[in-house]
Amino acid sequence: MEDKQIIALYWSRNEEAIRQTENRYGGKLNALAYRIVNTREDAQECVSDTYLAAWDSMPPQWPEYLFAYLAKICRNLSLSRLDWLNAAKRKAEVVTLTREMELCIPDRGNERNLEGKELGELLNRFLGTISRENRMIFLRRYWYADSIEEIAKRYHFSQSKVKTSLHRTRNKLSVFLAKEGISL
Amino acid sequence: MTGKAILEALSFVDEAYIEEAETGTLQGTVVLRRVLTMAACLCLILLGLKLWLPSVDNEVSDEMEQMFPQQEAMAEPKDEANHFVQDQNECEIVMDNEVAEPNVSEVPTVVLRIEEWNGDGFTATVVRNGNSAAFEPGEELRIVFSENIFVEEITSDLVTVYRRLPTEPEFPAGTEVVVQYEYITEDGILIVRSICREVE
Repeated sequence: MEDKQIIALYWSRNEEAIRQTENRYGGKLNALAYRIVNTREDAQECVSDTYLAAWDSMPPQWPEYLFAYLAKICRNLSLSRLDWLNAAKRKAEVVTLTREMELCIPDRGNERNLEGKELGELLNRFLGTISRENRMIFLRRYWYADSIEEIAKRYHFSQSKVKTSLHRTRNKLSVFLAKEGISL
Repeated sequence: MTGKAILEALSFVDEAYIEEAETGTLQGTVVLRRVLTMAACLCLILLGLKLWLPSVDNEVSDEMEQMFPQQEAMAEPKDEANHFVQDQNECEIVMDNEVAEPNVSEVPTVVLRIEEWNGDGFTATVVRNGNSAAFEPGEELRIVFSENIFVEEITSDLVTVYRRLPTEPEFPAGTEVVVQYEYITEDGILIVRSICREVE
């Protein structure tokens, strides 16, 4: 079933919408949640909560990209659920991602405080300035939490090329954030 | 600001970008498939020729032998220079270009100008990319040698490979070199596995 048909099911309050969503995207959502929370039970709960949130939000929402819409909800729920202390103890991948993101933080200077959403819009603007290839690699790493190996396999690149792309994009982000003069 | 904050703020990224990263393909995927297909076909053709041609050669020489029998069989001396030779003392490996086995297309390369030597490598400026488009000309890089670094000397008919550390007298500041690199670290350090002078 196509995305538009699934969304139409949500709008007509037909519970078949949940089953179709699970058939089409359940696996990917589970994989995304698991990469963040790192336990099967928590991942399954995040995905179940995603379906509930989707049910509650459609209508009035009619997302243009259904998977991206669901994945966003799932990612937010997973990050909220994540026990950072335990993740650090277990050396979870998400902790590695935060450390890599630390490299993008400019040196402290005259900074202005920023809310999460405002920072998100800045990041959006930044992503629009880089090439499609670098943007996709960056988002696969820091949005989807893919490993370097997974990204290299997905796009048939060498791991070296992926690492180089990520390094250069992080450098550019650091320069971009420094120009905006931000901190949190 | 923390890395966690940036990671969380990414949740506000445009859904079009999220969808693009999930469903989009990159040029590398399409180009690589074509290259691999062509390479596979070429290998099959070359293998076929290699298997077929010697047998044809043998048949022809047998016929020639019968038509014009030789009075004396002359042993051809074996040319040791055409074989892989290793000098244990110097760790020098000399290869004739014809038996050299480079598959360098799989190892990324870049052309650099050495700026300054330091303890375990040097800093350099990118002159141009080699077989990968990973860097921009003028970009500054920090180079560290891999554990298995080797130095190549290339002449018109010989590639000499030395498994040892490169030295500053051999590659002084200002020299343009071609390096094969293994990977770049998170700190932006390029781990290099081979180095040779750029041949103009």
